[in-house]
Parts: sequence; C-alpha cells; structure tokens
Amino acid sequence: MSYQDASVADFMDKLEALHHERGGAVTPTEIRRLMSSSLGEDQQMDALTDSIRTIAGKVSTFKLELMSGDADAIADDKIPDASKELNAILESTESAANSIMDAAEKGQEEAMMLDDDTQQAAILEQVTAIFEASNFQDLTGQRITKVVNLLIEIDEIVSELLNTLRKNLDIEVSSIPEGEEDGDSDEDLLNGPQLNEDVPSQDDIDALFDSL
Amino acid sequence: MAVDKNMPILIVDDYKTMLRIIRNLLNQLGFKNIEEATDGKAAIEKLEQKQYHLIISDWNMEPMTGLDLLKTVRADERWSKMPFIMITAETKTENVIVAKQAGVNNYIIKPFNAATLKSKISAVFGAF
Repeated sequence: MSYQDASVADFMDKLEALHHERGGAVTPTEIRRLMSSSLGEDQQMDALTDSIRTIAGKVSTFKLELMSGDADAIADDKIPDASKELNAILESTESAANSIMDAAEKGQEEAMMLDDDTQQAAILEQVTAIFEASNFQDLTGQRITKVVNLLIEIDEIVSELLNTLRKNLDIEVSSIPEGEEDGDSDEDLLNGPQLNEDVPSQDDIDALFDSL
Repeated sequence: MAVDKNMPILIVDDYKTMLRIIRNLLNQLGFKNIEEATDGKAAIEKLEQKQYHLIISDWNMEPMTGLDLLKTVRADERWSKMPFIMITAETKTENVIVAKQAGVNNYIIKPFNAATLKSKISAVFGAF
C-alpha cells in the first residue's frame, strides 16, 4: 500500500469511527478537521471525491430498494406479522395459565375436604406454589406488550421514513399512519417489567421505600 | 391495627389472570371478603358503593393507571386514609418515589409470593 493509500485508509477509518460514535451525525467541520489531520491537500480532494462517490452509490442502491417494494414489505407485512405472532404467544400463555389455575383451584377444593390436616397443609402448600408461579403470565404479557408497542412505533417510523424519502425522490407514496402524541410525565413512568439482570429485589425496593 | 381477616379488600388489575392469582393467594392467607376491579375507573365505581379496608392495585393499567387511582383515592377525604398497596412490575427508583409521595402504604414487585404479600399486609395492619 502506498503512503497515499495508507493516508486515505487512515482517514476513512477515522471517519467511520467518528460516524459510528456519533450515530451517523458527523458535521462538515469534523470531516474537514479529520482530513487536515490525515491527508495532504491533493489527498483530501481525492478522499472527498471517493467519499462522495461511495455515498452516491449507496443513495442509488437505496433508491432502487425503495422502488423494488422490499421496504414496503417490511413496513406493511413483516412488522405487523411479528406483532400478530407475539399477540398469539400472549393469548396462548394466558390460556395455559388459566388452565393451570383451574387445576390448582380444583386441587385446593379437594384438599379442603380432607380430614387429615397434615395432608391438607402439604397439598395447599403446593397449590400456593402453583399460584405464585402463575405470576409468569402477567410478566410475560407485559413484556410482550412492550415489544409489540415498540414494533408499532418502529413500523410508524419506517413508514414515515419511506414517505419522506419517496417525496424527495419523486416516487409515488402510499398513506402513512400518524404518529402518536408525546405522553405526560406519569405515562413516562410506565416501563413495564425490566430484564432479570436489571431487576432490583423486593429487599432493594423495601430499603428504598423505607428510606423515603 | 389488628388484621381482620373478614375485612373487605378491593383488588385491581387489568389482567384477569393476575386478579385470580392475588385472590387465591389472599384466600390462602385467610382473607375471604375480596372484590375485584379491572381498572382504576371500575375501582372508583366500587369505592363509591362500598367502604373497603384495603386496596391492592396494579400500576400498569389503562386508561386509568394504579398511580392515578392512588392519587384519586388520596384526594378524596372519604378514602384518603384507606390502606393502599401497589403490586407492580415497575421497579425503577423513580416509580417507588412517585408512589410513596402519592401516599402508597406499601409496594410489592412482581413476581411475588404469598409470604411477601403477607409481610406487606402485616406492615400496614400488624402481624397475623
């Protein structure tokens, strides 16, 4: 690799790293600063030309993808289908939890009719464990609802993005669902269950509650 | 305050399965006088008709959340002193702070068991 090629590669690496760090928001000033630190004047022009050529290629490819309908399939079918699948899981786990509790309640009734107190207590202890374990359905439901809502938001964003891009590219546009209004502060508190590694224990919550 | 196992308890959750779990666990603890509401609004309607001794409510409900219910209950002099326990999956510090500031008597995180439910009711009414 020539010195010039190495400098250009260095510039591209730094640009890519900065692009990644900023989540895609790199300003012209930052690009100029990077170019000055990595390249000579001629190399800067070459690197800029290469970058513009790459961007133009990506825009062209994206334009073709937009026209091909692949993007529509994501917004119109794949995301809504994923939501339906998750809702089906929700319904089946709810049905399963209710069947489990039907059986537990019957077991409880049978246990209450036993004359042997020790045997009755032993069965009721197991029935209680079944009720406690049935908590899973509520948490599963809340987690799935959280993901479904996220998918709906993503669907709206993708549709809006497609609409905006197509307007700019003079491509025919399909209708777009309206975005939701921002929630109030109490609604912001509704986060649903956290993942296990993030969840404080009841003791943690008790300590916090008592400290307030 | 001694625990009256016959005291009327209102449990509020929009998941019917969860209502069933709470009711069964309360039954296991000896409480039999339990009524249910599936959201905050339905709970208010129940409260208008009957004096309960304890409300156990979920937070995450629509359209009226458990926090809205708590605030409404605390703002009404008929119910302002009524013991209120929140059972919720909302475990973030800010949630606990907001609930405490709104006047909740205790806070149970999901998933929970009968022992936790018992200890929180004991914390409000005394050991049983």
